[in-house]
Amino acid sequence: MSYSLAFEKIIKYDIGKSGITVPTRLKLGDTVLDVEAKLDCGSSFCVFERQYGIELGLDIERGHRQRIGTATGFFIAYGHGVTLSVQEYDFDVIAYFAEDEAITRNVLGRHGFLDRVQLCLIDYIGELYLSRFGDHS
Amino acid sequence: MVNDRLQIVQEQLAALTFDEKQKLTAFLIEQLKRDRETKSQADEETNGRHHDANVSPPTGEPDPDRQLEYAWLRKHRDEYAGQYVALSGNQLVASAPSLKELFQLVAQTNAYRPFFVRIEAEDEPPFGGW
Repeated sequence: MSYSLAFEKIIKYDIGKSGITVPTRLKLGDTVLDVEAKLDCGSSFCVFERQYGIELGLDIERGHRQRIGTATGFFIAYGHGVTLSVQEYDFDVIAYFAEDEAITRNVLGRHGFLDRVQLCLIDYIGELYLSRFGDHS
Repeated sequence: MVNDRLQIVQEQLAALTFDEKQKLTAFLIEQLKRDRETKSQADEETNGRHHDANVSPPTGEPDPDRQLEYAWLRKHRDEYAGQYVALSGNQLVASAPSLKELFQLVAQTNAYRPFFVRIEAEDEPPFGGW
């Protein structure tokens, strides 16, 4: 048996870089930030560096406090409602911003990204196919 | 002959203002997308792939793929390892050791929606998720 899916977009990412890196837009009001984020199927949330949240105008600690577990412990992040865009797909999501400014990673995780799209990954050649979930069946 | 012509064009382009270069960048991105669309259609005909890479951004809007920025990163990654950079097309807007400093520098420019990237240091362990 074989299965087929159709996708609207393709992201060609650099296989020489650490992780699968995707250009990502964060929007809040009139403020727009275009940043890099790594696709992380193991992350429950979309998490970004603290300074990006500050630049968006957020008071970080006023968001929803969340302990996020890692392989070696946990860290604290705060959830805020923002618009997250990848390949011109806009999603209104709760994105988390790390409390600790020493955290320098940005990830696209399950809630807010993976649960909004369907995707196909061919890592050998660095291709990520993407559609908004529901646009194709 | 082609190289001579390219050099003349490059010299003329160097004299453009920042705004003119921004408009030119948007124009070139659109041209690259059209070229890629043509190639994609040819690929589809030969191997049956389904993808749509022909969404052209409005004039002045950055390319969602950030192709020019990634071309710059491939070329200059080693020079800025461990730094944050802000890129606009194939131009470096600013670089700094922290995001806070980078935003302060970018605020002094008129760069339109730059792409913010942290370039990993050479000795940095590879990303392992959380």
